Amino acid sequence: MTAHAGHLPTVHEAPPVMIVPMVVLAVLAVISGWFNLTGGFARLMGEEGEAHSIVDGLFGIFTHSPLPWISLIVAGSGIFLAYAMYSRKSISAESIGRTFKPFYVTFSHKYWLDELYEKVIIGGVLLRGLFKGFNFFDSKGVDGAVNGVANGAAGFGGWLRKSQTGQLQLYGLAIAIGILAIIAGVFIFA
Amino acid sequence: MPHQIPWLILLLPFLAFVINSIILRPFFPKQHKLAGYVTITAIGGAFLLSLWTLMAVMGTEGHKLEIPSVHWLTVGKVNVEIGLLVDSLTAVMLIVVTLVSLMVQIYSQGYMRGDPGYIRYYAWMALFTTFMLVLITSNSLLFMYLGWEGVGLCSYLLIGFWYHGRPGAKPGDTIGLHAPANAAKKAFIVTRLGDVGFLLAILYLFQKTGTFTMDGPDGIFARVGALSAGAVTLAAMGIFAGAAGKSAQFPLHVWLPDAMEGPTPVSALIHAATMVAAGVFLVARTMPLFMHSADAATLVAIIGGFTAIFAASMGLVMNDIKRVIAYSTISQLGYMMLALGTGALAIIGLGKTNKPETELLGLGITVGIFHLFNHAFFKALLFLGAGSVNHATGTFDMRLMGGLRKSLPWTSTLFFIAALSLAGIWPLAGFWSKDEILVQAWEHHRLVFFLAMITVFMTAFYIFRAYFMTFGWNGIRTPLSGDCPCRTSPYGT
Amino acid sequence: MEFNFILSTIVFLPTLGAIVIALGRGLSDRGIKLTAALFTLLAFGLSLSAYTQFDSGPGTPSFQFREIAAWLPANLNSQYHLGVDGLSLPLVVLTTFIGIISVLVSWGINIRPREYFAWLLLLETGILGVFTSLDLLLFFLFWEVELIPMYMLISIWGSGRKEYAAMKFVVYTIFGSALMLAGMLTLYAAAGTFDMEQLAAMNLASLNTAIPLAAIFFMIMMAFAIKLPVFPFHTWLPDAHTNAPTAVSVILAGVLLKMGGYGMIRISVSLFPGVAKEWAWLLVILAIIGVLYGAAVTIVQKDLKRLIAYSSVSHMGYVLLGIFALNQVSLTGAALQMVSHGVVTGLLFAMVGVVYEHNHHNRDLTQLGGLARQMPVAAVVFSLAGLASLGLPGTSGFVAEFLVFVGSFTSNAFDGIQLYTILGILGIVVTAGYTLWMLQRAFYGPPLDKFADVKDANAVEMIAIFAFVVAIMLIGIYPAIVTDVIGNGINPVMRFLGT
Repeated sequence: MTAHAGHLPTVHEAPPVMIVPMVVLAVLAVISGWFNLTGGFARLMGEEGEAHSIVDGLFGIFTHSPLPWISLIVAGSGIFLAYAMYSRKSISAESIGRTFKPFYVTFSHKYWLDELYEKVIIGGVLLRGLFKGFNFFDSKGVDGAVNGVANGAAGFGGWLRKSQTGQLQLYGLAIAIGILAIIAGVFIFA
Repeated sequence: MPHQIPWLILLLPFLAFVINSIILRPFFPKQHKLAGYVTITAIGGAFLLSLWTLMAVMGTEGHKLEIPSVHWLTVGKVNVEIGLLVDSLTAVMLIVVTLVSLMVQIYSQGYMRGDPGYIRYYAWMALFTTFMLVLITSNSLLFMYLGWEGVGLCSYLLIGFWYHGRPGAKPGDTIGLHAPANAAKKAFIVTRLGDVGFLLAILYLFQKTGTFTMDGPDGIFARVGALSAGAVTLAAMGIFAGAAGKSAQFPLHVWLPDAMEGPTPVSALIHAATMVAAGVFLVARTMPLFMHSADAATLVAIIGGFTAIFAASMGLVMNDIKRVIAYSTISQLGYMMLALGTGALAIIGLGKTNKPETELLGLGITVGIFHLFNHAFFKALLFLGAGSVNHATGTFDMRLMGGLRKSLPWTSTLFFIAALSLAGIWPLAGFWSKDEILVQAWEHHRLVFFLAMITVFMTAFYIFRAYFMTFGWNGIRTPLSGDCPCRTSPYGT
Repeated sequence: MEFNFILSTIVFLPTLGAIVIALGRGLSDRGIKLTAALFTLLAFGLSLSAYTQFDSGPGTPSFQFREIAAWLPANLNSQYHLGVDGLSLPLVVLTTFIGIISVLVSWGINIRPREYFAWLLLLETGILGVFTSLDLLLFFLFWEVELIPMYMLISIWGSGRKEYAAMKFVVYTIFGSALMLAGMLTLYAAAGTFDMEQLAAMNLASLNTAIPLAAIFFMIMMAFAIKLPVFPFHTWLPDAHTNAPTAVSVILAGVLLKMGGYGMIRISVSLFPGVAKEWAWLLVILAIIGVLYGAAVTIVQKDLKRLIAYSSVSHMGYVLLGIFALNQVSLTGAALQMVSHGVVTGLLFAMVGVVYEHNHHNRDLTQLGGLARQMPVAAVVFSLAGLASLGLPGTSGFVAEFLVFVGSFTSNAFDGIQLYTILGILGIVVTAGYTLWMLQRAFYGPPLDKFADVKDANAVEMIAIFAFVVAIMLIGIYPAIVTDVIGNGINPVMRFLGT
C-alpha cells in the first residue's frame, strides 16, 4: 500500500477514489475563473457593469491593456527559471544559492521569527522571566508573608505544634467551642 | 426557496458528526468505512442545497435572502438573536466550502485508509465543515464567533490528529514524536492572539451600537455611519487582528507552515481552501466598517501586500513540498487582503477623489472574493497532489524525489494544471482573479504593482520548482534512497 | 400541594445521611457508599424539583420557598430564615449536583469510609445552609460549620503535606470569619436586626454605626475575599487542593469557592451598594491582577492539581470583575461563571482524580505523557473540560465569561473600567496556553511503557464525568435555562444599586 522506509519502494499511482476528486478540482482549477468572463461574478457581488460575450471575455482582455501580457511574461519567466534550474539543470541551484547567500539563509530560516517568538519572547521573557518570577513571588513573597505572620505568633505556633501530635478531632472541637463562645457572646450583649 | 434550507445546510454535517462520534465510534468501531460514507453523504447533501441557495440568491432582487432569526438569550439589555445572512458573498462561500469539503472527504477514503483514527477523522472533518458553515452564514457577530472558534478547535484537533507522533516515527525521534501536538498547540495559541482582537471588536461594537447583528435595519452596518471615525477604525482594526490570525498574515503567520503536520487532506481543506480564507471572508463581510475607515483599509492593504511577498520569499527555498504550498497559501491570502484593501490604495496612491470615499473603499470586495473562490480549488488540488505523492512515496521531502512523472502520471498532470493556475497562466482560473488584482494595483498604486509583480515571478518560480523537483522530466535525483531522514508513510506499514 | 419545608429538607438530608452512616453500625462499606449516594441523590432530586417550580417570570417575588421560624430569643431579632432567589437557587442545585458526584468519585475510598462519608455529607449541609440562609447569624453559623468536615477530610484522607494544608485552610478561614463576625455584630448593633432582607431594605448609610460603614464592608468582605479567593489572599488554595482527596477538591473548586462570590453579591453589594460603588475600582484592579497573575503562575506549575488550583484563582478573578463592574449583565455573568466554573473545574478535578488513581498516583506533568492511548475516554473528557475552561463557544465557560466581558465593558461603575476589561480579556490567551500545554503533557506525545497497564475510567467514574459533560454543554448551548433564573436574583441587586 504505502512505502516502507529503509528500502527502495515501488511507487504506485493513487487509487481512483483519490484521483477522481482531484480531477474534479482540476477541472475547477481551469474553469472557475470563467465565472466572471461575462461579468457574472461581479454582478452577483452587486457591482454594475455590462455583460460581455464569453469570447469577448476570454480574449478581449489582451486587447485593452498590456498588463496581462506583462504578467504572463513575468510568470512565464519564473516557470522557465525553475525549469532551467531544476529540470534541465543548465543553471545550478547551488551556485545561485551561493550568490544570494544572505537571502538564502534568511529565507530558509524564515527570518528567524520562530526563534524570536518561541525562544526569546515566550521561552525567555515570559516563561523563564515573568511567569517564573511571579511563581517565585507567589511562593516566597505572598505565601512567605502569610507563613511569616503565622510563625511570628510564636505562642500560638508553639501551641499548634504541641497539639498537632494529638487528636485531629481536637481542632474541630476547638472550632465548635469557638462558635459556641461567639453565640454566647451575642446573647450576653444583646 | 424555503427559509429552512440554509439551516438544513448547517444541520447536515452536524448530524454526520453526531452519528460518527456518538454512535459509530463507541459502538461500531469495526464498521469504520461507514463513517466516511456518512460524512460524504451529509456534505454532498449540503453541497446540493448550497447550489440551490446560490440559484435562489442569484434569482433574488438585491441578491439577499430573508431568513427569520431565532432568539437565543436575553440578559438585561443584551439581546442575542441568532440569524443567518445569506447574500451573494455567503452563497459563493457556501459553494466553495461544501464543494471542496466534499472532494476532500472522498479523497480521504483512500488517503486515510487503514488509519486507526479513521472514524475520529471523519467525525472531526464533519464538525469542521459545520463550524465553517456557521461562520459564513451567520448574521450575528456572536454566532459567527462560535463558528470562528469552532473551526479553530477543529484545526487544532486535526493538526494534532497524530498526537502520539508522526506515523512511523521511531522511538527516540523527539521531533517526529512531538511535532503534531506542538504544531496544534502553536496554531491554536497564535490564532487566539488574533481572536482577542476580534472579541474586543465585538464588545466595542456592542458598546457603541447595542447589537451583535450585522445586517438589517437595526444592525451594526446600518449604524456604522453614525459612529465616529476613530471608533470605526478601532473596531475594524480589531476585526482585522482576528482575520490576520486566522488567515496567517504577518506577524501571525508562523502557525500555518507548522500546521502541515496534520494529514494532507486536512491541509487541503482547512489550511488552504476554507478556514484560512475565513479571515479574508471576515474582512469582506464587515466591509461596511472598512468602507468608513480609510486607515483600517490601508492597514489591510499594507499587511496583505507585505505578507504576499514576504511569504513567497520563504516558499522559494523550502524543501518540503507541503511547506512550499503552505507559504504559497500565506502569500496568496496576502494577495486577497491586498485586493480587499484596493480602495485604500486608490485614496493614498493617486488621491483619486472623483468618487465618494466609501464607494472607493468597497471596490476590492469582488476582486478579493473572486481570488478566494479560484484559489480554493487549485490550492486544494495542489495539496491533494502532494498527498498523493506522499501516499506513493512516504515522504514530503522533495530532495528525495524526482522523476515521479512516469510512475504518477495522473497526479503529475493534475498537479501541473494546478501549478499553472496558481502561476496565473491564461486561460486558467488563477489568471483571471490575479490579473484583476494587478489591474487594480496598476491603476491605484504603482509601487504596490511592482511588488505584486515580483510576487508573481516568485510564485511561478517556487511552484514550478516544486513541480520539477518532484515530478521532474529527467528524474535526475536518486529516488528514495535507503537512509530516509524524512517522515515516513502517513500510517506506518 | 405546597411542600413548605423543601429547603430545610434539602439542607438537612445530607446531615440525616451522615447520622445514618455514623450510627448504622451494621452497614458494610458498600452499604455506606450506597447510603451516601441515596441521600445526596435525594437532595439533588429535590433541588431540581425546586428549580422547576421556581417562578422567575417578571414581577414574581425574588425569595421563594421561604421558611421562617424562631430559634433564638425573640429580642435578638435573629430567626431561622431560609429562602432562595434566582441567585442562590442555581448554586443550591450545583451544590447538590456536586454532592452526588463527590460521593461517586469517592467510590474507591477504603480508609475509614464511615467517617469519610459522614464528614462529606455534613460538609454538603454546611454549604447548602450558606446558600439558603437569609439571616446573617444563621449564615455565619453555616459558614463555620463547613470548616470542621473540610479540616478532617483534608488532614485524614489527603496526601502530601495534608496537615499543613488543612491547618492553613482553617487558619485562613477563621481569620476571615472573625472579621466577618465582628463586622456583622457592629452592623447589628446599629441596625438591630440580622435579617438580610430588612437590612437590604434599610439605608445603612444613614445608620449611626460605631465604625465607618466602609470599614464594616471590608471586614465582611475579607471573609469572602479569602474564600473566593482574591489576590493576595489566595495562597491557601493551591495547598488545600494539592493535598486534598479528589472529592474534596471537586467540592472545594465546585462550590466552596462560590460561597465567597455569593456572599459578595448577597451581602457586600446588596447591603452596602454605596460603599461597593465607591470601592469598585480597587476590587476590579484586584480582579484583573487575579486573572493575569493567576494565569501566569498557573502556566509554570508542574503538578496537575496545583495547575488547576491556580487556574481557579484566575477564573475567579472574572467573577470578581463581573461583580464589581456592578452592571446587570456583568453580575449575571459573574453568577453564571460561578455555576460554570463549578461544573468545569469540578470536572477537571474529578478527571485529575481518575488520572491519578489509575496512574500509580502520578500527577507530575513532567512524567506523564501519551495517556490518550490507554485512557481514550478520559482524554476526550479532560480535553472537553479544558476547552470549556479556556472559554470555547458552545461550552458554559464561554457564555459566562462573555457576559462578564460585555457587562464590564459597557459598565460605568468608574472611569477606565474598559481598560481593565481589555487587560482581563488578554488572560484568555494565557489560559489557552496552559490548558493546551497541560493536555499535551498528560495525554499527547508518544505512549510510555511505564503506563502500559493503565486503565481508562471505570463505570462509576464514567457516570460522574458524563453528568458533568452534559451540564457543561447544556449551559453552553442554551444558557437561558440558567440566566433567566439568575435574572430574578440580580434584578433586586440592581434596584439596591439604584440603576
